[in-house]
Amino acid sequence: MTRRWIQSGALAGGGAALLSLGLFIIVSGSDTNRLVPGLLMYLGLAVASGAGYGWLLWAHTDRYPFAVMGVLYGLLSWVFFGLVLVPVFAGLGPRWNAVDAAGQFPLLMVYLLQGALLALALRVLEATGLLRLMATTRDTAEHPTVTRRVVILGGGFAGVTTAQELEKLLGETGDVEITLVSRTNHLLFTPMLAEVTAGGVEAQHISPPLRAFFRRVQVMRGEPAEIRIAENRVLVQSGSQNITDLTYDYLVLALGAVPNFFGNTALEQYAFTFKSLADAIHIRNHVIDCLERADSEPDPMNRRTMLTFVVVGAGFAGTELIGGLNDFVRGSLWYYKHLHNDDVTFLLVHPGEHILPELSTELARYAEKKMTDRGVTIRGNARVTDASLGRVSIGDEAISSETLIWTAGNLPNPLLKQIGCEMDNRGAVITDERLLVRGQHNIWAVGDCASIPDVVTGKKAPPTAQYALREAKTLAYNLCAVLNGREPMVFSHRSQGALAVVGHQTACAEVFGFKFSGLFAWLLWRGIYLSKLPTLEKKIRVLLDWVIDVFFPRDITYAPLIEERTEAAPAAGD
Amino acid sequence: MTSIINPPSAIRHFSTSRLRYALPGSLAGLIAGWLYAGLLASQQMSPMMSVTDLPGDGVLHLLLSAMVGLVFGITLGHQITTPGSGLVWGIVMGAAWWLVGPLTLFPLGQGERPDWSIALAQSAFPQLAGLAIMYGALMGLIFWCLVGMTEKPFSLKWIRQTSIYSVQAAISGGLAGLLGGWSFGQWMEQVGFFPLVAGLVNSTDVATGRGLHFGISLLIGITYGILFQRETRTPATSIAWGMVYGLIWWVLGPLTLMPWLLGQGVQWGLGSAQAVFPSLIGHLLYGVILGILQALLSQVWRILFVDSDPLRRDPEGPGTRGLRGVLLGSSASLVGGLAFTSIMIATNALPQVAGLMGMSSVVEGFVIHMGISTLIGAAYGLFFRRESQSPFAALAWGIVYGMVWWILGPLTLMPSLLGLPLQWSLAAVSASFPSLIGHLLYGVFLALTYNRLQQRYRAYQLTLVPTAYHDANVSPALWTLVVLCLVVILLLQA
Repeated sequence: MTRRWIQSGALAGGGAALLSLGLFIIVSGSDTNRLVPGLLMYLGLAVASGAGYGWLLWAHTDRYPFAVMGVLYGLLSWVFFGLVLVPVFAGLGPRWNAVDAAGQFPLLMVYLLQGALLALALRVLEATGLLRLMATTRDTAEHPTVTRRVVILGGGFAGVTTAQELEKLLGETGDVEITLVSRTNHLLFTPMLAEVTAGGVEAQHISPPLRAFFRRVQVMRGEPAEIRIAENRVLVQSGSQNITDLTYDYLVLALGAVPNFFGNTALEQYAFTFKSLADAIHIRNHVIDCLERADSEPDPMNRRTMLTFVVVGAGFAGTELIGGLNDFVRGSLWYYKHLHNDDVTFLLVHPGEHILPELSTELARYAEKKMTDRGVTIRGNARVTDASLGRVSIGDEAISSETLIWTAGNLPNPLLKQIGCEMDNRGAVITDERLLVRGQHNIWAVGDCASIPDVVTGKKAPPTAQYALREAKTLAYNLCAVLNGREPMVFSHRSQGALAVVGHQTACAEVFGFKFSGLFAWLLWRGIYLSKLPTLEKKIRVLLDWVIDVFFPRDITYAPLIEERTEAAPAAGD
Repeated sequence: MTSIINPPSAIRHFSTSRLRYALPGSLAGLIAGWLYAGLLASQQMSPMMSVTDLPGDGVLHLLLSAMVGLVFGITLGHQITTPGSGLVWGIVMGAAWWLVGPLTLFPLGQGERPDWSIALAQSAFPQLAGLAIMYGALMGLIFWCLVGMTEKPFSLKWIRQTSIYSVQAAISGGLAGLLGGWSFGQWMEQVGFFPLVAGLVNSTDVATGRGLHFGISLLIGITYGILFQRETRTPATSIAWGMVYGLIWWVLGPLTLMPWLLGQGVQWGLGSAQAVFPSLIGHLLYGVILGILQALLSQVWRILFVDSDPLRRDPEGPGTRGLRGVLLGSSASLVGGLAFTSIMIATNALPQVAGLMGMSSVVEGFVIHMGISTLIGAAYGLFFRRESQSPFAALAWGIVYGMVWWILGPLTLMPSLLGLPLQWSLAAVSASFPSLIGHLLYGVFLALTYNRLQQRYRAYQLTLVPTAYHDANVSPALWTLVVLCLVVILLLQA
């Protein structure tokens, strides 16, 4: 319809120009021979001006009185064309001084009249229905009527970005229903999760509510219980009893990953996981609890057990977590008069040669040195094999500790096994380079739960947030393309680098092959992730948290997880 | 083909809804024409006021007045829901009649061919002042009274509610009027205008003149608050309201009431208007300040006592919207600033801009110019975020914003910062004309880019913004009257 408005506007513009000029000649009795040389240019500009008017107006016909709009447009045309463009093209230079502008007063009158006539013509075309009748099948092809449903499973980076981008691409046209199914009602910004545990930012501030992101996407809080691909249906459990049946035309799997304990049930029972907001709050509360109990514990051995914290896995999550916790605990010791710095042990256990395997060896060594200097013990080439209450086994060595945090591995969501798609050895669904699940025509997969060929490296795309975001954008484009009968595109992304905070105002960064460390890298980390944190409100809240953190000590209040009930006073006479 | 044989709903709706305003429109036109003729008669002027001195014909004048009122009622009657809307639409109609009557039909009636030249328009300047500000404004207000009385009879409840809001509007308007008067007073002090004002009470004392000036400013502020209390909901629209009100008071004050009270009769001639031209810029600036302050005071009131109610609170909050507006406005200003730069280069104005910071080179001037344009763009984003809902509205508000900054910038702030007197004289304004074109271009590019950037949030915003903000009834009138201000300036300085 836009095109039709532009075309009609151009036509009306030309007509209005002829009419207004004719009227001017008749009324004023001007010499027509004098006007002929510029007539063609005048008409050409009037057509262009009319087309512009049609474009500006097309979706807002009823809102304003047409004559007023036309007059305003006429004034602007006079300024643009009469005072600037035409004199410049005529080699006279712009006529924007007062004397020349006054000399162009008759032209201003013509332009005002022309604007009013143009607006009147378009209004008449619209009011009589002629404009609508003039629409061709080509116009309707611009915004085809689509009545299809897209269901996106997973409210992580991949799922939310797919929904956001799809919404953006589809705009306000079309009739596509998009439903996003998420276990939580917020998007967790995982790069800042360690800061929540360390008390640097508030938990809610890194978790914007999903419903704040969307206008047309419907958000359903729940967990997919069953995916019936033969029937194009998904059963979603949104309460203990409540099962919702969702049918789809296109299904997006963005179910993410779950912690992998490699079948070790003892570890699964005694270790904290570090994947969700609740995990971060649990760990934080547990650490504060350890400090509180240790402060009143007379036995030095027990106190050390309480203050020994073991983190397994030295990827980004484990390293940033132990760096932040180390700062938090040691920084809070002055509250606890009976505790000393030497009582505290932070142990980072990992199976590799160096921590942060995603970064270069040089940066990993830097990180190790910085962390060691700040009191973190790093144990490389080691594996945690067992755990029990108050004890952690690293190979044959037993360590007394009440805190074991597991960040050593993830597996794609186990729900994927039931759908019967082709999977790799990790349990991720295999897709082609267009993100379509192999062997399926309407199921797509992105993020940690998908095994996606990386056309840049020839390997599989790594399960990182950076790749998940790019995959989601490609997928949204592809879904939009399929909905509109176009060809989907191949996913291609070259890694832009990685950043990790290793302690107070210290970070390591590798961006586009350039390596940074120390304060600059830390500032880079904060700047980049703050800019990526969704919603302006959350950005400001986190920024304020960071500012407050500079001026005030860490908060050692328990974060409330369970509603506490105040005990009532005993009845009188008891 | 059905839609051609049967008139579509738009036409049916038009014929049923608009024609009911024909009678009140004609009546309003007739009464306003009669009052206007009375005013002219008291000044020994012909009621027709034709350019070619057609002999006065009361009957023809009243007939034409009723006819203009009829057109007014049919075309614009449905837009008039408040005294403010009646006033501005009435003035728009008066200005339109000036184009059709004195500039076209009257000369034709005299057997002459109107060439729509600046000379013809200048000679018809008294008619512009009279038809737009007197006849048109009266017609709009009378029409509102007539329609208001028939459609919404005044009740005790209505009076009580209106009184409460009117007191609040009068207080905020009065305060804003005093502050606006203080800034206008700076110029009056500079040019020794206070003794002239004191002449109204047969005095030449500066203090008396200053006191009278503040009294008048207070009065204008209070009437502004009461008249436009329903329209002036955001600082953006208030800028235009204030400017239009400033124009009205320029015609009512230095051209009408003041000379009348001094026993000189109304002075609507081109020469008289040119003599008080600096005062026009002062009135426009006073209006802008009055509008912004009144809106801000009302907004504070609303935030503290109305919007603070959790049940009415906007989910996004003013902080999110405001900051987003500032960010988008600053980004959009880059485009506007670059468009303006082309004119600054052509007129070699960049070194002068550099002079604001004690520098002189073109590059420094460019950097300072872009910095200023970013700040102004941020202010646009903050104030106009609710108004820029369609490309056309953006275009119109861009023109308004550009014009406001032309008055504020090169005519007022820039000379003040450079330690020069205010550039409000005819000669200075004429010299600053290229800057006006530059400011208009800046405003248009800024507003259209902002509109484009804001598109992503628009559908969401539309669901949040109260209906009053959608109400586009009055905005077009304001845009037109800002254009009228431009035309008046062009006529006076030519």
